[in-house]
Order: sequence, then C-alpha cells, then structure tokens
Amino acid sequence: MNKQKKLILRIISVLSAGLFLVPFYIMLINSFKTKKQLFLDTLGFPKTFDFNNYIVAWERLEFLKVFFNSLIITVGSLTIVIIFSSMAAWMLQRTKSKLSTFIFFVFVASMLIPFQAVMLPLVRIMGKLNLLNMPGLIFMYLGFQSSLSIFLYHGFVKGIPKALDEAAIIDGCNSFQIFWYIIFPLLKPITITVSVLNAVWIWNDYLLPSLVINKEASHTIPLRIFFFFGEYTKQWHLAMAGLTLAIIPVIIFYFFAQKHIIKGVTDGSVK
Amino acid sequence: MAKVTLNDITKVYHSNEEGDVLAVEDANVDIKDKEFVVLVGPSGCGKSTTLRMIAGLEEITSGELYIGDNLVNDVAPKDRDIAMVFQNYALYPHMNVYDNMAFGLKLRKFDPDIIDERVTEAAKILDIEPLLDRKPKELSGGQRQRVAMGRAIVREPKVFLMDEPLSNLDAKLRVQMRAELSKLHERLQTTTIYVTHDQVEAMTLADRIVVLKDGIVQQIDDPISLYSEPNNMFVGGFIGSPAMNFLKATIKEKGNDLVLVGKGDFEVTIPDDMAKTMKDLQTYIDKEVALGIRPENILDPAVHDDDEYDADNLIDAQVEVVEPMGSEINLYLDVGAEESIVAVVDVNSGAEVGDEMEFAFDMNKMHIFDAETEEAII
Repeated sequence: MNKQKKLILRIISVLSAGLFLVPFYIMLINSFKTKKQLFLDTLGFPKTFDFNNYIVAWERLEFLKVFFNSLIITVGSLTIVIIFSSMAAWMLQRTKSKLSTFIFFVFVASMLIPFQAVMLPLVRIMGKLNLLNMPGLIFMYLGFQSSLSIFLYHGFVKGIPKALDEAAIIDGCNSFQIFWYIIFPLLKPITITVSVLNAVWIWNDYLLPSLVINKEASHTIPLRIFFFFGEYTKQWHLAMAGLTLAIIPVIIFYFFAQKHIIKGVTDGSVK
Repeated sequence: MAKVTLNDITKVYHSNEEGDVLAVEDANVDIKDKEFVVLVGPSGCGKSTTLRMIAGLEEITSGELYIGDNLVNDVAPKDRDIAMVFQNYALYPHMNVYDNMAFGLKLRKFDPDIIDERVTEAAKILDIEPLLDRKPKELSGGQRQRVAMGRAIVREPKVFLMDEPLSNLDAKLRVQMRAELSKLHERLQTTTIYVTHDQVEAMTLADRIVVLKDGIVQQIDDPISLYSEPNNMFVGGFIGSPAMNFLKATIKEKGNDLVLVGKGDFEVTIPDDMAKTMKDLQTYIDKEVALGIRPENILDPAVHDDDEYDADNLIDAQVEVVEPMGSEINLYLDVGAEESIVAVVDVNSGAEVGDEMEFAFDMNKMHIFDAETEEAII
C-alpha cells in the first residue's frame, strides 16, 4: 500500500470515528448546560462547567438504586446466559446426531424472529405465570440472548480438539468437570465477546423492561431516564446528565475487556 | 500392572448414510503383564478403534475386554486404571506443565505431597523439570510429547495406551523419542499398548506386534517372527521396508525338483527341505501362486562369493532405477513381470540404470503364498 492510500484511509477512519463520537459530544457538553442554554446553543461549549445537573439527575433518578437494579439484571442475565449457552453449545457440538443438529438450527433460526412479533404474547403468558419484574426479566433475557450466544460458542467449541475432552475423561473427569475444568476456561475469549454483546444490549434495553417491570422499585436506568420526558416538559439537560452517568459503567467495562474483545473477534481467523 | 485380554471384540458403527460399518471384527489378543504390544496397520484398519475400546472411549459392540482379571466392558474409563497418550498430545492449554501432569491425581483427591512427589519424579525421568511452570504453547513438539508421557506416568496406571504418539514429531526427533520410549518401558515395566501405522516403530518398540487389516487381526507375533514368517501376503508386504516383492509364478515338477516358473521366463528351484514342509503340496502343482522375496534376499552375484548363492537360481533382470542409500543401494529391477521388483544390494554392486544383469534369489528365505487366499503356503 502506498503512502497516499494510507493517508486517505487514515483520514476516512478519523472522520468516521468523529462521526460516531458526535452523539457523545452532544450528550456530554449539554449535560453541563442549563435548559435555556441548551436550547439556545446546542452544539456550543457550555459557559461554565456546572455539575448541578448531575446532582439533580442523581437525586431524581435515585441513581444508586436504579443503577443496582440495572446491574443485577445485567449481571444476572449475563451469568445465566453464559452458563446455559456455553454448556448447550458444547454439548450440541460434541453430540453428532440429527437431533442435535436440529436443536442447533432451531436456536439459530430463532435469531430471525423480531422481538416485536413476540413481545405482547410473551408478556401476557409470563404475566399469567407470575413471572414479571426482575426474575421474569432475567429469565426472558436468557431466552432472547441465548440463540446468538449459542451460535457464537458453537463455532468456537469446534476449534477445541475433542481429544481434550477425552484426555479429561481418562484423567477421571465427569461431564461437569470436563466442562468446568477444561472447556470453560478455554472459552474465555468468546465468553468475553458474548458478555460485551449481551451486557451492552441488556444494559441499554428499554422496551422489554418497560413491558415487564411494573414496580417502581425495580426500575432500570433507561426506564428512569424516561422520567425526564414528560407530556409537557422535556428536561434535556437533566436527561443528558443522567445518560452520561448511565454509560460510565459500560465504558469502564468495555475498557477492561477491550483487549479480549478484539481477540475474541479475530480469534479463529488466523491459525 | 496387568494383563489385557480381548475376547472376540467387535465394533460396529451405525451410520444412516452408509449402513453399518464393521470397524473391528472378532479381535482376540492376549497381552501379557509388562508386555509392550504394538497394533499396526494401514489407516482405517481399526487399530485406533481397538485402542479406544480398551480405553473406554468407544463402546464395545460385542466381545469381552479384561484388564487384569476384571471384565471392564461396562467400566467407565476413569475406573479402568489406564492412562493414554494422544496423537496430538491433548495437553490442557490453560494449565502449566505441572498442573497438566497433576490434574488426574488432583481429581482423584491424592494428597498434595504425594502429587508433588510423583510429578517431580516423572519430570526428572523425562528431563522436563525446568519446564514445569510453562504453558503447553511455550513448548516444542518434543517437549509436549514428554509432558503427555509425564501425565500418563504420574498416574502409575496398570496399562499405558498410546495412540500414534510420535507421528507429530519430525523424523529425527521421532527416532530419538522412540529410543526413549523403549528405555522408559524398560524402567517402568508397565503393560503398554501402542498404536502406529509406521512398521519401523512397531518393529523397534514391540515385544509383540498385532497386524490389523480391515478390522481383522492378521497376525500376532514378535517382530522377528513376523518378518521372517508372515502368515499372508498382507503381513509380508506391510512389514519391512522396502516391502517384500511378489511375483506370480506356477509350481511345476522338474525331475525330482519343484520349480517356480514365472512370467519373463524366470525359473527358480524350491529347496528340497522347504518343499517338504509345504502344506498340501500336490494340490498346488501346476497352479499359480505368489512368490514373495524380500529385497535383501535378492543377491547380486558380483558382490557375493560363489557359495553364498545358488547358481541354478539366477534370473535375468534389467536395472530401471538406482537409489543409493549410503550403506546400500536399492535397485528397481524389471524381470519381465507386471511390476518391477526391488533389490537391496551392497554399495559395491556397481549396477547402473539400463544394465542387463543376473541376480540370485536366496531361495531359503523366499515365501510362497496361495494366489487366491493370499495365505502363506511356505
């Protein structure tokens, strides 16, 4: 590749990176403005960096409480999604039968069903089963997220030689021990990828919690942020501060996992 | 330590597309305590399947498998008291060498001091002490192979099972590890069942060799007997490198002698004492048989004294290819038969491509096989 081409590519990358950062910029600078300032000059820098919005948003959101609700739902869902889908993928990959192929395809095919098509019947059925609010939500996330997760794990398990399972059998492992001592540690790169994809999705999800959570005490961050948008007033400045607070944990999580995410995405591409 | 007995062991794979596939048929093998037995055969002959049935990784369709005096058909692999070395070593990538070796003992809840003692001892035997903290990916092929051996040794099992453990190593290392395996067996005296497709490995390591073809045991014997007295054409051709030559010939009576007459007008006399041991001799007269002769039993009269070969059994041949091997020369000879035959002769032979020469068959070391059943007659 010659220098000119490289330069052009670099400019394009910088521009597209900038484009992706614009919403963050708008969110961040407007979180420091008063409501009036925000409407007068949306794109400009704030005159003073006033943390008042954050204090108000923190209190109005009951941030700690909703933060922990979001955290419990995300971590809870993630944990069971990882446990169930990695085990299922391992078994489906290792069992060579028509039934296992069929089950795998059912999982993959369910990725194609739009959420909106099933949400109302789902909520009604789950309501009748008394499975709403946090436990129900976590259970539903297991259902919705496991298809993609199983698909990702399944591809990864293929790359783990079956001889390792057999060596473990001869060393004296039962199925659970093979999985937990040998297979699961080797799934680490893909587990991180699965975690990030699911965590971001669950953390940010608004629609499903809005249908399932009917107790204020169980509200998640996205649900509570919506409180700033009333019928007659839209408190953008507070919403921006609230959103900034809400994404901080996700960004911290991403930074910690970044190295592994990239590894997870590229693993298997180069032998 | 224990003997291993296979009684009529059969393995059938059920497959929807191809119907039932018979992988191993009625295998009967008695492996003595402390014996080193090698299962050898071409790929797909059922040798690995047999080993995996002994390990418990494959179910036995029918027949009985004993380890020691216990029937183990339905015993889980972990309770069979065996250890296995895999072709690709199957080391746990996320554990260091020490943990790889200690894993089986930890699962069996051994005392940590005993685990430490055994791992250190095995590492000393295998010369891998400095590697104990490393992960498998930081090791060379030969080192990984040693760790895989170490993992088997620390368990102190009754039987070692090895599935082509040297086939992933380069040629030089393979020879070196082969010698070390021999030494190790000498030292540990553990019953060992070893699978390979490499007949040189089989010959050099084994106390006894089991030759398999298409799931059927062809012959079980010690290496020298297997080489000098093959049961059939397959064993004759499989063991030995270069392989045994086969020539179609007809047995005829000539005066008091029996001779073999083949294509290209060659005629060799069957020695009297061999003719006497021949089974159902009369039935083969005037019938086609296969003459088997090993390359080193084809002699070049130029480099042998007169009393070392029989001047009556000379055949004409044209040299097609000359392969100098250093200590000897492989000659590919056209004797008028369908395929050329190979002779291994002394480096001083002086044979060159295109030469018309005479060669002598060392008839005391030839074999005769039934052309149809391929069974050995002599």
